[in-house]
Order: sequence, then structure tokens, then C-alpha cells
Amino acid sequence: MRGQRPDGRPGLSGLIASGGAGLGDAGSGRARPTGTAPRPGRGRAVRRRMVRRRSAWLCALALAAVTASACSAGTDMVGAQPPAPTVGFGSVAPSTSSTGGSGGASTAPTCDATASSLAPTAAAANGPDVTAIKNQGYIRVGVSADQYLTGYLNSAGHEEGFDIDLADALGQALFGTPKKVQFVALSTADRIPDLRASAATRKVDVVIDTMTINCARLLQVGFSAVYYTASQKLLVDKKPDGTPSYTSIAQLAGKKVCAQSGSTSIAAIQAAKATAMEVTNVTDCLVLLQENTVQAISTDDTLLAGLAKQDPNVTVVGVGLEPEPYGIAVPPNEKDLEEYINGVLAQYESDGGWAASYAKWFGPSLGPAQPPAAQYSD
Amino acid sequence: MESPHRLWIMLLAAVIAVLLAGCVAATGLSGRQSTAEHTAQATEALYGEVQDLSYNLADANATAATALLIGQVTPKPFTDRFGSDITQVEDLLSAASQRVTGDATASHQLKLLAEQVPEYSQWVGQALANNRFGYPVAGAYLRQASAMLTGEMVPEVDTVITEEKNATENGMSSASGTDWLTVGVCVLALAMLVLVGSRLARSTKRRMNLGVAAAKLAVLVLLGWTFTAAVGSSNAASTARGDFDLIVQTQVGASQLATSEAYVALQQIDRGEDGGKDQQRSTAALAALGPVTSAQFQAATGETEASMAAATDIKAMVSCGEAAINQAGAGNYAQAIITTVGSGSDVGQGGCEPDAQHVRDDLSALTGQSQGHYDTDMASVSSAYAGGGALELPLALGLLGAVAAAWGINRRLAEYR
Repeated sequence: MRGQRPDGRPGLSGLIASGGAGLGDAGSGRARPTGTAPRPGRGRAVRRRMVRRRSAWLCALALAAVTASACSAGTDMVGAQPPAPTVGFGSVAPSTSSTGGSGGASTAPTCDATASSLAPTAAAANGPDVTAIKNQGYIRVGVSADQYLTGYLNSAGHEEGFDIDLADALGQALFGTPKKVQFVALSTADRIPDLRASAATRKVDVVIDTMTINCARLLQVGFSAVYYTASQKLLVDKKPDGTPSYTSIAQLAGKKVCAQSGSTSIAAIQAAKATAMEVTNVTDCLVLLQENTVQAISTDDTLLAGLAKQDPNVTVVGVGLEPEPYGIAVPPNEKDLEEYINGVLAQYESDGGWAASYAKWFGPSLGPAQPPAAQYSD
Repeated sequence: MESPHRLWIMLLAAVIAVLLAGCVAATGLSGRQSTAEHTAQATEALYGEVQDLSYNLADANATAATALLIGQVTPKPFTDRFGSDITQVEDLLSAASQRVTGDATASHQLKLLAEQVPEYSQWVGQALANNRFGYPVAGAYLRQASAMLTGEMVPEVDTVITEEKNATENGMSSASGTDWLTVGVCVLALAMLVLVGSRLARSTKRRMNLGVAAAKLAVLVLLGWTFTAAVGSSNAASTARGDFDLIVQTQVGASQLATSEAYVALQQIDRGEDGGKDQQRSTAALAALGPVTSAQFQAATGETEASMAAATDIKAMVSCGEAAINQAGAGNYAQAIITTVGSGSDVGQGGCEPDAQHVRDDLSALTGQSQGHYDTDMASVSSAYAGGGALELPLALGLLGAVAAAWGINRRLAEYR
């Protein structure tokens, strides 16, 4: 089971939260996902040496973490020592050309978007950007306010969803309480410009909004490690016997399929010789499906899960067409913040927070899943 | 010495001239009086109905959109208000459809509208039903309904509104002003009578023919009546035109208020994923309320208590609406919703709603007040033409003048028999 450290030693998220000296549990090392290529130009021996060096360093950090967490025992979540993840922080990123995930202009247009972020470090908790947020007394998180199950304002006027849970975990780590998270609803178009604005004028400190990491965006902002890998799937009507009316996009040739304007789904729909009906807001697709104007909806599975939750007569089908790795976006060049968030993320994934949130929001529609294995650029 | 033959010609010419003057005056005066009545009772009434139709559509949309902000359960006052708006729309459509018989364009637009109202109501119903479950697709249904209303239904009503507004203004112009045809005919008739009179005076060595003089008097009365009616009707129509402008402004203001309420709510429902269009539209709709607070409006209404109250209330409403727009624009939707509809036990009755209700009441009162003045002024226009006697009296006068002219000239003819 993920979230439990094999040696039973505590992780360091408590230190992250309390601004402690280290970012623990890094020593256990994250497994590289199956099928990812090793970094070009580096041999197996070099890699082994690196892992050994990193393991030694992380062991030292872990020791410091144990000490620190013992000191902070008895305090609320700020000092609590959550279980460590089964995978570590130190796996070598199979990046092809990225020089770092902090959004510097040096990132090449071609990159490994899933391994573009900086690994957590002990110093990150006391880095200038993290300290600035702590001194601010709250963290401003840019979220969506209209994406059901990921980030939306419920009828009571509160943000909730998978992304919101993650933001709460970040607030918990920084301030010991999720109440210090200030949600700011950002439109899709405003996310990157706002993060790139000056510290004095930007409205948010980070963005958690089903934001896909890609090379173009990495040139503009920084990203955390991947916290969810969505994929393009289909939402279709159920037949009276409960089975889906279509099971793949190939069956939709000559039919109408709804997708968001400008999304990558359009090309997939056209390739399947189906007619794409474009809308601005994905919930408009559900209206079109319910009115029988379209026969299916194509978009990220997380969004489809949100639509499926609203109508018991539809179901998510299809093999994931194209992976969409979601990351937490941070302002460019705020490396300590990126590293710190990756530490929180690793902790969140290891302590069962990710799994509980996934089960709550997506489990019924998308089935069981595991958090993505973290990969870093360094 | 005139021959009997010439006297007969003079008699016929004088009779025809006076009768013609009487007929033309009767036609002109009664035509204008009829136009004034038709404008007040039919054209302007139809204009008012289609404006009300537009308002009720906008208010239904605003009510539905605001209801989605309040929470999952739509409060009864909101469902009642929406139901009342749709019932009003159906009633007004029925009444307006009967009035526009013969106007193909307006009939077509209203027919289209009648077909769309049930579809619109169905979409709003879907939105409210989904909202009860807290599903965001409620917002999508509302967007569909709202897009249909603002993109198709309102423009259809606007076509009829523009047509009837122009017809009302044209009607007021036609019903007032000098009837130059009547003036011309009367002057010609008078000239003819003067000529006949002078010929008779020369041939009979008598200064005056009593019958011809009476005919001249009749034509002079017709001429004077025409001028007096023109002045009277022009003054009354001018005042009526001012009243009509106020009716237009207050009715458009009421529709703009409802439109702004709908867009303020939609901005909070769409939450930034509309590319800022809702924000632009809500700001524009609030700005459109400006004329009702203007100095010209105050001057036109004589700075009545009602217009002063309206100006104050509209400023408060605009201020509240702008606050909500800015909060939503900054991504603070939870606060924007509280600003718009209130919170806690106050929800649905707080926020901007009291200000909006005041403005609705003010504008309704001002519309009623202006409508009352308009009806009075248009009645004055009608009465300037002798009201219901605009046809009979000039005809009778023309007939009397013709008889008098015939009698007078016949007396000269009798001298030959």
C-alpha cells in the first residue's frame, strides 16, 4: 500500500509544515514509472553513483527529520509526523533537455513534462519564497470555481474538489491549518499571466487547477511534480441494460462529439471521422448530450467524471488517448517554493491523503487509481 | 350685367368650393383626430405591451439566474416571480398578436417568440431541477436559456418595439401640426367666394350678398378651426412626445435593470470561463440605467419626488451591482454572491435585491405617471380637433356655407324669372 514507509520510520512532512530543517522520507527513492527512458548521455554506473550519493544525503535528512518531528510532537498537524511514502524523492528524472522546472527561459521547447520539477530539499522550507508566504500568513491558491469534482464553488459558497483537497494539504503543511488557504478563482486564460506578474501585483501564489504540464507552459511558469495523470476519454449514454452506448471513439465515426474549443480532443474526434461540436464550457456538452444533440463528450477523464456525477445515465468509457499530467503551477524561478510543494505532494501521496481524495471525488466514475510516481529533473 | 347662365356657373362654383372646403376640412380634422386616438389607444398601447413583454422576459431571466446563486432550493418568491413573468409574457403575447394583425413583420416576430417561450421555460426548469442537486450543469442550462433569450427572443421583441416606437412617434407627428391641404382648399374656396361676391356686387349694384357672405364666414371658420386645432394639437402632442420619451426611458430602464441583474448573476455562475463577456454585459447594462438618473430626465419629470427617488435608488443599485461585478472579476465569487443575494436568513432578500426592488418600484411608478400624462395629452390632441365631432361639424359647416351661397346667388337668379 502506498503511503506507508517500508521501514516504518516517519517522514518529514511535519517538518515541512513547521518549517523544520529537512524534507524527509526522500531516502526511500521514487520508482521511475515503467516505460520511461533513462536520461540520455548518462550510464547506468553514473546513475547508481548518483543514487548512492543521494541516498546517503537523504538518510541524513531523514535522521534530522526524526529528531525534529520528535521535538514537535504534541502540536497539531503542524508538528505531526505522517507516514512516509513508499517511493522516494530521489529518483533520477528521465528528462531529455529540461534544465529545471522553475520556469526559467532555459527550458527547451522539447522536454519531459512529467520530470521537469525540482526534487524536494531540506532548505526549501526556509527558502525566500516559502518564507514570504509564511510571513504573509496565508497562501493564495488560484483554482477553478466551475469544475465539478476538481475545483468548484458549492451551493454553500465553499470551494471543494480534488484540487481543493490538495490546496488544503498545502495550507496544512505551511500553517498547520487549511483555513489559511485563500482561494482565488482564476479563469483558464488568467492562470499563467497572473503567475508571471510581479509579486506585488499577482493575485495568487500558486495555481492548482487541473493544469496540464507541457513544454510550452514550462517556459513560462514552474510546475510541481505530477499529482495526477488525466487522460482523454469519452462520456456516453448508458443503454437501458446499463452498458455504454459506445465504447470507443472509433465507433463514433459520422456521429457528433462535443469538446471544449481549442482542446486536443478536437483533433482526436476529427481523426475518428466524427463531427466535433465545440463549446466554451464543458458543462455545456452535458446539456448537448442530454438533448441528444451529440452522442458523446471527449475531454479529460477528471472533467468527464464531474459530468458523469451529474447524470446517472451516462458513463465514462474509452482507453486514455493522451496523458495529461497535472501539476501545481508556481511563479517562474521560485525554486524553493517548487521544491517545498514537491515535498508536500510526496507527503500527501504517501499519507493516504491523495488516495482518500481520489476515492471521494473520482473513484465512483473512474475506478481505483494510484498517485503518479514522482519524477524530478535533478 | 351678368346673364343667368353666368350666375348659375357662379352658384355652382361657390357651392362646390364651400362643399369641398367642408369635406377636406372634415377629412383632415377627423383624420388627425382619428390618428391621435389610434396612436394613443392602439399603437402606443402595443408599444407598451411589447416593452412589458421585453421586461418580463428579462425579469424572468434575472429571476432564474439569481435563484441559482441563492442555493440548491429556489425560494418560493423566486419561483412565483418567474411563473408570474412567464404568465405575463404569454398574456402580453396574446394581446400583442391580436393588435398587430395586418403587420406581417411584427406578426412573424411575435409568432417566433410564442414558439420559443415554452422552450425557454423548459431550459430554465432543467436548470432549477439540476440546481436542486447542486449540479453545475444547472448553470449550463441557464446559459442555454439565457443565450436563447438574449440572442433570439429579445431581438425579436426589439424589432417589434422599434417598429411600434417609430409608429407611435410618426402617429404623434401626423396627429399634430398644420393641415396645409385644408388650408389651401379653404383659401381657394375663400378666393372663389370673394370673386363671386365681387362679380355679384358689380352686376347688382349691391355691396353685399348675404348668402355669399355667410358662405365666406363658414369657410373662414373652417380655416380658423384648422389653424387653432393645429396649434392646440401641436402643443399637446409636444407634451405627449415628452411623456412618451419618459415612458420609453423608464421601460427601457426597467428592462436594463433586469438584464443587468441576469448578467451579474451569470458572471458568478460562469465564473470567469466566459472570457469576461458577462462582466462587460453586466457593466454595460448597469451603465444603460444612467439616463434615468440624468439631469435631463429630472428636468423632464419636473424633478418629482418619484424621479428623485428613482435617481437615488438607481445610484445605490448601480453601486451594489458594480461591487458584485468587481468582486467576481477578482475571483472572489463567494463574496460576490453574498453582495448580490445576501447570506444566511437574509439570502434572496438581501444584497442588491432591496435596491433592485426599489428601482423596479420607482420605474414602475414613473412609467405609470408618464403614461397617465401621455394619455391626457393625447386626449387633448384629440379634443383639439373637436373630438368625436371632427367629421360631422366641418361637413355641416361646409354644407351650411354651400346652402347659404346657393340661397344668396339664387336670389339674384330670381330677379331674372
